[in-house]
Amino acid sequence: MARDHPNAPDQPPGPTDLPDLRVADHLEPIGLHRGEPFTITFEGQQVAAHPGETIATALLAAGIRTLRSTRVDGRPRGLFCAIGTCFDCLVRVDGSRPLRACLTPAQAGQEVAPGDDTTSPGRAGT
Amino acid sequence: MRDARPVSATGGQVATDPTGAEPDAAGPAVAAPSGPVDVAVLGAGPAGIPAALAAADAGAQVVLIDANPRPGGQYHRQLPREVSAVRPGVLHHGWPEASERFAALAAHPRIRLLSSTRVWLAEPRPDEVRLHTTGLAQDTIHARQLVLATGATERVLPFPGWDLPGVLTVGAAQALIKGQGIRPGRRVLLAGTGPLLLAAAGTLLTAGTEVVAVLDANGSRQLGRAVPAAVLSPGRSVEAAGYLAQLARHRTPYRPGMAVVRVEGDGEVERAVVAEVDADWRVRLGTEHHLDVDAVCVAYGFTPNVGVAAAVGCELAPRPDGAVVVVDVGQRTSRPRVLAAGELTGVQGASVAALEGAVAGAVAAAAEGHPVDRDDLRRLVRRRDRARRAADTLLRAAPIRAGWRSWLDDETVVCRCEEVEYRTVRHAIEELGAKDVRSLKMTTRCGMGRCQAAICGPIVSDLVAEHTGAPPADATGLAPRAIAESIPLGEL
Repeated sequence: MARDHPNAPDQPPGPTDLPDLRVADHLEPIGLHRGEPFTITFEGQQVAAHPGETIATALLAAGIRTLRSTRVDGRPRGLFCAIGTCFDCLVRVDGSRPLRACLTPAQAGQEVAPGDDTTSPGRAGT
Repeated sequence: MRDARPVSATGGQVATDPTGAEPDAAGPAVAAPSGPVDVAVLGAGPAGIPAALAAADAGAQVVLIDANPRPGGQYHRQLPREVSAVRPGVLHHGWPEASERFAALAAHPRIRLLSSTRVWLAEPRPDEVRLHTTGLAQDTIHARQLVLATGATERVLPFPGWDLPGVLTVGAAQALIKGQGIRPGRRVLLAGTGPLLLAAAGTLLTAGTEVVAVLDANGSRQLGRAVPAAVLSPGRSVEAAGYLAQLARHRTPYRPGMAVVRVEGDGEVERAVVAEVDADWRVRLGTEHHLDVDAVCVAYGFTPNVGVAAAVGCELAPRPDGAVVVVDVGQRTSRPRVLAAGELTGVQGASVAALEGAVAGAVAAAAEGHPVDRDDLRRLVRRRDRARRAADTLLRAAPIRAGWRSWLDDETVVCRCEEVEYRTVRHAIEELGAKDVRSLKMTTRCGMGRCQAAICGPIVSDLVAEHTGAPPADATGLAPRAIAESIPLGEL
């Protein structure tokens, strides 16, 4: 595990010094190689992302597991199916409508916020 | 020759959902072919790719439509182009064949792959099927023949705490590692039933994850019954033995007859409560204990994805794990010009899906006048039938047992989207007399949320069936919609 992915240089050290959850670059036997990281933010916190990563991946790597809270009971929600089926991982990107973090590519400079549903309870959408 | 269903048949429910297609269209828009194509294949997974190749090899012009940025489906989900890997195959089963097919797909002059594209409306016409797409290719495809290869959705069971961040599906863990090169957690518990658990444990361990334990609620006796199938299909037993050896090397315990019955934590997963369960999956008293974990991944089989098939009017048949599309020996559905291959015709795994896809592709091409060698096709059909028989036995070894309901408490969320608790569902069934999933949906809002019952449909269907004594109805009753994908209103 010593060769795990280092924290991105522009990211303040997290609560632990553990490497992040990315499968380490060059870890045998897979031998991954990623491009140079860039930065997005989640509620103002700087988060590193690599080319090809989704917003969900970048946030998970930064230790951010709670992506929004639910409309009725305010319960925390995060990644569940990770393939676009369950709609639990909703986030807003630069003020967008709620998007699935697991499908949305990370792009430099994105300002990501929880995809809390602002419609009234009992209404599926607007 | 029924008429195509008009857009208004949906009541506007899906089309007005603000959560439409994501801009996962990270790339230039692609143009769908303007003229008619011989064969359109929906889904570029283990069934769809062989279908496209078989049809194109026979001489047909083929369009292959897939929701993901790269072909492979969930089973052979690929890393993004921007991430390279020296040996991507170590995370996959059957990778050499899969990567050969990817290469053949990319090089084939008669196959056009439309990635990051979803079909939101399929209209059967007398002389074609019209496919309206959203995503990278926003267009109408005129297909003389349509092969549906839409696969299956993972099935999960609820338990207290299953909506906490840190609980994921096993398929999610697979997708994160194979498709994004990231692990779902540091200390991961795998639980549920079926062969996917072992395969996923292998992927997680190879990717350097600490897997705390693998729990299969079905006991060893049930595993024992799968042996005849493994003998018929030697690859499977070798595969399972390989995973078990890998678990042993990492000192990861494999525990038949155990389940995760609750997950706890302050806003996120901190520990799982696991227990021994009896043959009916009821907790054996006194066996509950805690495991400190930061991720719990659950899998309880699959439900066939029959949404588009149902929307174009294909005949469905009920099965314990959800409705399947009825097909004949040539993979033809009850609807002219529409064929189906892979998990949506019955969940049997990737090797069966590949053979079904190859048959469907050849039959679809032949229907458009392209010559197909009859002896080759007959041999293919025989291989498919042998593979089906072997898979049948194996999958019957991992049923869902009724006792899972005893894991629930009143506050357990059943429908995650609409936040419907178990007590509300029970009240609707026991006091209000909801006798089918449709009336339950009307009284509780179960299945009315964004996921369109993809997650709670089979669960609710089981809960109703238990009370009425009827066999579980198909979960499509929760979401019978002509529009197959949620799309932004602006695209209509």
